[in-house]
Amino acid sequence: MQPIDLTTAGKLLDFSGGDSQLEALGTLQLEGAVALQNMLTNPEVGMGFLADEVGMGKTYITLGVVAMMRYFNPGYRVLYICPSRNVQEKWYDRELPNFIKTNVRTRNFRIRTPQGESGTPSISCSNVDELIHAATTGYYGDIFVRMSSFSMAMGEDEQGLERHLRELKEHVPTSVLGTVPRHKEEIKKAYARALNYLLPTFDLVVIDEAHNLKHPFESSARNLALSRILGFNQEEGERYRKRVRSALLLSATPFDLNPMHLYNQLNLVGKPHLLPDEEHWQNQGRLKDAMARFMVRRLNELLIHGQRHTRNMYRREWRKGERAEINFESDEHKLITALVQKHIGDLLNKEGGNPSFQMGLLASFESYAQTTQSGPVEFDGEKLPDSRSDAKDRHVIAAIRDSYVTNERFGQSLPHPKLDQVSRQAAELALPQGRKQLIFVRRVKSVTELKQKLDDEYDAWMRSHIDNALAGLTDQLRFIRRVWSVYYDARKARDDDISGGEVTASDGEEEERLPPKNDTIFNWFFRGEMAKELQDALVDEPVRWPTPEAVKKSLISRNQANILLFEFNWASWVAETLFGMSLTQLVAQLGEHRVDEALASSTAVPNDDGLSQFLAIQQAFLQEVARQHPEMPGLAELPTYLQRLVREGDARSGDKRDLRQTLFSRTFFTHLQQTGLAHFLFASSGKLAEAIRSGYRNLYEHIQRVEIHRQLVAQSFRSGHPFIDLYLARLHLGAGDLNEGRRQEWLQVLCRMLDDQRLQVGFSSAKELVLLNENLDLVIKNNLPGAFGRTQDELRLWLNHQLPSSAPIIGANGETSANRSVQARKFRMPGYPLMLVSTDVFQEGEDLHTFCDSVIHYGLSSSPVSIEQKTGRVDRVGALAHRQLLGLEAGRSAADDDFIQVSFPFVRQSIEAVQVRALCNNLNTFLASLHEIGVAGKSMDEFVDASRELSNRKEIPDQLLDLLVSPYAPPAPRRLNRKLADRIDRDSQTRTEAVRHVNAMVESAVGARLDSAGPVSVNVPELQNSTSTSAWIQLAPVERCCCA
Amino acid sequence: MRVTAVDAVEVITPAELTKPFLLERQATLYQNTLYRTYAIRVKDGLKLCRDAEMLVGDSDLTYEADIVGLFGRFVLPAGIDEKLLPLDDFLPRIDETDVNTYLTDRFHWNGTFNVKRRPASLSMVFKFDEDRRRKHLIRVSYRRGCCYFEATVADWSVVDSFSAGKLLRCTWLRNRNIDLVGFLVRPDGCLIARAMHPAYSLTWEELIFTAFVLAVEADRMEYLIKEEDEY
Repeated sequence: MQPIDLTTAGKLLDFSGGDSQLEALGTLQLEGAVALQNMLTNPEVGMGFLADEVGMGKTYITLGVVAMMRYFNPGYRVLYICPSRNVQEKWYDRELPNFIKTNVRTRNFRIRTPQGESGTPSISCSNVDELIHAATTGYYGDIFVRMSSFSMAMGEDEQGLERHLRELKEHVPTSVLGTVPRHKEEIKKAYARALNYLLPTFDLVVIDEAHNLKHPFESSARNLALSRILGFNQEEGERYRKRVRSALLLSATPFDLNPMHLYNQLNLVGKPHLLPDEEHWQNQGRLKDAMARFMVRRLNELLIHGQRHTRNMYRREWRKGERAEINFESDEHKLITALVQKHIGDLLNKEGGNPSFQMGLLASFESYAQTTQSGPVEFDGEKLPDSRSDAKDRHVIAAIRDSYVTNERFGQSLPHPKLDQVSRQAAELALPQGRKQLIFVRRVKSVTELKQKLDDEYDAWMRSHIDNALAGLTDQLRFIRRVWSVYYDARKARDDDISGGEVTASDGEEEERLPPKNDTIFNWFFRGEMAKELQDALVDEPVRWPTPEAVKKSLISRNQANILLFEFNWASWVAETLFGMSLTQLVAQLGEHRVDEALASSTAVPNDDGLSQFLAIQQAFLQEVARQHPEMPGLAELPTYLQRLVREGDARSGDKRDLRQTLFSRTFFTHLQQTGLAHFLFASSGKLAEAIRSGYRNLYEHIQRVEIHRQLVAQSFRSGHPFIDLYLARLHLGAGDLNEGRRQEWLQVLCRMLDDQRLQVGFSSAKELVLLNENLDLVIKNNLPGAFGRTQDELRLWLNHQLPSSAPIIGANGETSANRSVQARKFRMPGYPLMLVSTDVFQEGEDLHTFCDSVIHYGLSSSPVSIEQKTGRVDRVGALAHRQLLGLEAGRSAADDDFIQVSFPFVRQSIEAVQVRALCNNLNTFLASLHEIGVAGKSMDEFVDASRELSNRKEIPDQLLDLLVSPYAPPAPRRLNRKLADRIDRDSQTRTEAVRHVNAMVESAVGARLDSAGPVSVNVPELQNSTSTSAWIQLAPVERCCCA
Repeated sequence: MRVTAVDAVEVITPAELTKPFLLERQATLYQNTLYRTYAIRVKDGLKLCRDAEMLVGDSDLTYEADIVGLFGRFVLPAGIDEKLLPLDDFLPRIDETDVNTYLTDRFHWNGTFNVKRRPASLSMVFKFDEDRRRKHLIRVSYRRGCCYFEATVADWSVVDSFSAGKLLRCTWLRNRNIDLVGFLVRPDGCLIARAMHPAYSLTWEELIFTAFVLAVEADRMEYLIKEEDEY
């Protein structure tokens, strides 16, 4: 394989994906990919360490490197090892298809098919069994696994072990396993030996967040298994096959001063020799030179008004002052804090020697909810050894709390000034200011406690919103007050579920069946089924108000008129947008008689299926328009698109008036159009109109984009915050049933509410819809990359599955792992959830940046690496803060609030202050020495020496704001490799010709098209015994063989 | 590139999936079909699909008759056109050095290739790896209008030791996840891999490519079944 140059690489890849705003970053990514390709193809190196800062698109650069290698060697096999399930899903389900579709230029089947799919088969495996299955049942060019895929869960019982062994023997030749003693460790070793045998030799192993493997093989069962499977553990008596030829390690934080961490990572992939011998590690120059051969580390920069800003410069870290330090609201707060601090001080001193504690691991920093009955305090992180999985101050806090609550009965809980103030501040930022908040904690129980406080804040905010919306409507307010009253009673018994009652969608219909959950008024009243206690309470109400459940059902019932509220009237849109006239005028222009005939011949639909009838009539009308206006060939694609949405049946209305009335149905989108709000809330149809006017064909993606937007809006009104306003607008109309006129009034009230909200600060339905409208492509790219691959009829259920109903505030810890990808996806949407409280489960890999720019480190991580990883969740390519900073109007300089917000809240008059100071010192040291290597064996100190720190009178250090420079940013080769460039040009030409030719041949021979979306009926009369079959015909890549 | 034509033919219930059934069925398929058969797990058992595939390219490589012939493979009447044709009638000339160069350029392989030609059949041996530890033999012949490639993977005694599940994994289920090549058990009980291409439009590159893919797949399967390299 030859090293590639920048120009040639640019023929294959476009990291900007055609987005001019991403051009600078795209160039940086291409340079990185080319530099790494050159390192991998250098036989003396054969590896790369991509250590770009967080959020610069390491995933994309890696996929770019693989794409380049694969273009010239289609059999190139890659094993991707991800740190966790959600990151694995991100790679496999989102980034890989996105990259192939958007960033690969060539469409000649080598790495991308013309339809935008990968030319290489891939598979994602959750565990060892799936990995064995993948290795033995087919060819996969890309295999994605996660670290835990190598952990083998097995008990000690002999029968179970026997079963494991029997299963293993089904897949591996007997000679490979030999005699295996029935002992757990031996069977695990046999599994590793089997996998090492069965896996093909990969050309490349990619390890994401490789710093997780900074400890030696023997340090954990996972590292040991991995070292055996990859074949670089040469333990006694074993001969493992080396299963990777080269390696690409990824981490923004490859080490913190200690080169041994780097050595261990290299050792795992058979490349330790790239570092000098340990005795030379003191020699900084030599070590740096060695690292420069395989390391690429660039720093993200934003050019704000022409000024370069490195990451530290466009983040605002609140380390002290009013946005970090907690104010005491009462003397009680002061007294409690003083008492707690006194006891903790005594505790630390009583231990004798050098009183110290591990950073972040005192329970009192986060909560005083511990009782003497509670068990040990659980902190996040699988990395914590058991001996540290409790808080030193647990008993002290429990004793004070019990004395306060149980003995003295001063209150129901011991007030925690930081918990109270942070929840209030976060809610203030998220709700009245509309700024999503990401809050990290260390103590697992803090997720629940903080979430409950935030839920209460949300309820208070929502109550005020509802009161304002119904101001002056006495009966409605009385009804709602009754609802609140029952809810407050129900809330007294709320459980500890932190997920917000979210479910992983299975069939996409959950939004209609969600049981009430008493953590917020939204989850209890608005979101799903009516609470039993509320039903009982409302029995004697004189007025039967529509319930949210009933309204919601009416929006999805095909036999109810409300189902059309959030449909798109294409006929009106075509008339107004493409012909500049009303629908009535267009009908007249087409000829009323002809239109009536067309409508009368529309597809027959099932009885009582109002939606199909509406769509069938739309389709018939659009067909007529297209027939009469051949100068706009794209028009014909609209009815074709709608065809698939129409359910066929026996019912066809013969009444002209009915048909016309259906054609003219006014929906929410019609109102948006007429009130001028469409420009702000639903502008996605503009590109489609432009394409049709320009005479383009093949508009499927354009139409699908409008449909995706419509579905997302409709979904928000069914299951998100906008449903509340839809319901409140409905209450405006009173309790009675609606006729068509009243229905239109409902939409008018709703549009007025949205129009008012649009001009206000803070989170609202309008703000959610405006953000969706402004960032539709980004939302699809980041959250719904498979949306364009869905057929129109499966789109709605698929979207429901991807974005099931959410809650205003959600929590995440080890127990919510099954929902993590969905939680992250929802958080990347403009609406709910507005606040996410998480332990370190969201520390790595998952992007949370699309609509969030604020991170609160409520519980402090012990190392700067963790802090950097956590903050990095909102500091990524295309992040909200980046978009806003790059879009600042000329002349307006960036203010503190424009930057990414990072806060470290603490009580100044507590031992926590010394912890924050120690951490901030570490952060500065880490940043300043990011590219320096320290003394062997030295790491950032995770412990706070209390006696030393308490006698230290220094202030918390300020954030470093200097422009940073990296020494590991190799220049990308620019000299053209003519041979490679010519090969790409030649390939493209011949492949294009071949595709055209084969298409023509197939069409001529069997009358079918290769790009048909379904099976086609094939007749081959030339054959003896003429045959007819219904088959899928595809043009597919084949260049994927490689040696066993 | 390849064109693939696939249709589903039947669903086999779990109760039917016994080893004798699989062996008998595959023996029949071996004799009567010129397409690959693969299976997809579905709720009520296994959905069996037939898949006719061929390499395609520009106007020098692919003719309309080839495409018609592709679908013709679905309905091949038994017993016609069984005569053996001399390979010289349709096979292009093969130069070992050219093949080695082609495979090195195209697939970055480090092995060696040898060919032995007889009037009615052709043997190709692909030796993989730098140290030639593994190899595989491919036989090429003419069968009902196709250039027919076959490689033995394991003899009857090995297949005899398979469970029904393993047999399924090694044949129909595996075929689902690979291209061009189909695994099945011959009437004599041997596990084989095979591939086909229209004989009269077979180019040099298609010949070598198909044989190479077959050799890779067959050798990989042999490796998974037993450690030693026999074929």
